Amino acid sequence: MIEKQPRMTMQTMAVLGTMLQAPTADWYGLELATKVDLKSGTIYPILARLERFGWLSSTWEDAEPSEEKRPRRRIYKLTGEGERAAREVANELLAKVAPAGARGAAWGLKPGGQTA
Amino acid sequence: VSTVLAIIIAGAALVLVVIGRIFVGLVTNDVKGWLPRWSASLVRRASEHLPAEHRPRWEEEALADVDQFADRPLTGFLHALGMARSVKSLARELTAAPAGDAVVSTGGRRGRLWAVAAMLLTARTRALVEAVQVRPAVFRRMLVVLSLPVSFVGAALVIAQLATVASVVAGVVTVVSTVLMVLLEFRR
Repeated sequence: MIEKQPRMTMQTMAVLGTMLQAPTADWYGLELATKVDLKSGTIYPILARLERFGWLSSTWEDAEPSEEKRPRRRIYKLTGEGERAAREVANELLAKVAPAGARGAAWGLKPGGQTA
Repeated sequence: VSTVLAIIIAGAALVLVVIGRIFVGLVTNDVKGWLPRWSASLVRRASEHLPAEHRPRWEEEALADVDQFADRPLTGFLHALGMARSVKSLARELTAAPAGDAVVSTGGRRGRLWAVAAMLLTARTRALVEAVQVRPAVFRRMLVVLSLPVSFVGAALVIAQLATVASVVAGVVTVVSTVLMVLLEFRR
């Protein structure tokens, strides 16, 4: 069965929400997990799911392990499609639960599918 | 005779204290040295549950994460344990059917909608994750499973510490009693 959209759990929304705060930023798994306060290991299935749907892209960082004296990190980034879709999901949620509110302003969100 | 016996006991107790301290130090240092290797081994074993083409990438990613805890090997090991526990869920994601067109829809139950919306609005993820998303029964099972190895290591450390403390106390008591007995002998 072909899924039409990533499964939206609360953790997935938390990850997307964090990434939406800096849509062009580079993130690595542990950094995101720490920021979102997820338990270890929870983050990678979420990242894999979002990447599968094209909402995220990932590449290895440019650092040389021998110079950095640590393994390379995988860097994740919101794609344009991912940013648009995540904002739409967030806007739909806001429209459903807070139609008259403007409390999503901190995330650049407005009820009714508009982006601030 | 009793004085000589007391001195022998005191000496033996002191030797035991010294050996105990050395042993605890050695074991602690060894465990600290082993933990990063155990973590790496755990990650490699866990990666066997993943499709072959995804193993190298996940291994490298997971080892990079574990490496972040180089100065806290126990935390690193627990992190590796958490990653190993979630590897099957990652395997399910990696082997899932290819994605279709991303059609946005909120779906889900009303309670979850409220929870997600509240999270979006307040960004208080931790409280909500614990209160809403993680079902109490699942959370309890997770706690039991995770607490077993931690309890085992903790109990071993506590026993080692108690043994050290007990031997120190025994040594001090024996030395004090020996000194008292020697003083009493001199008074006579």
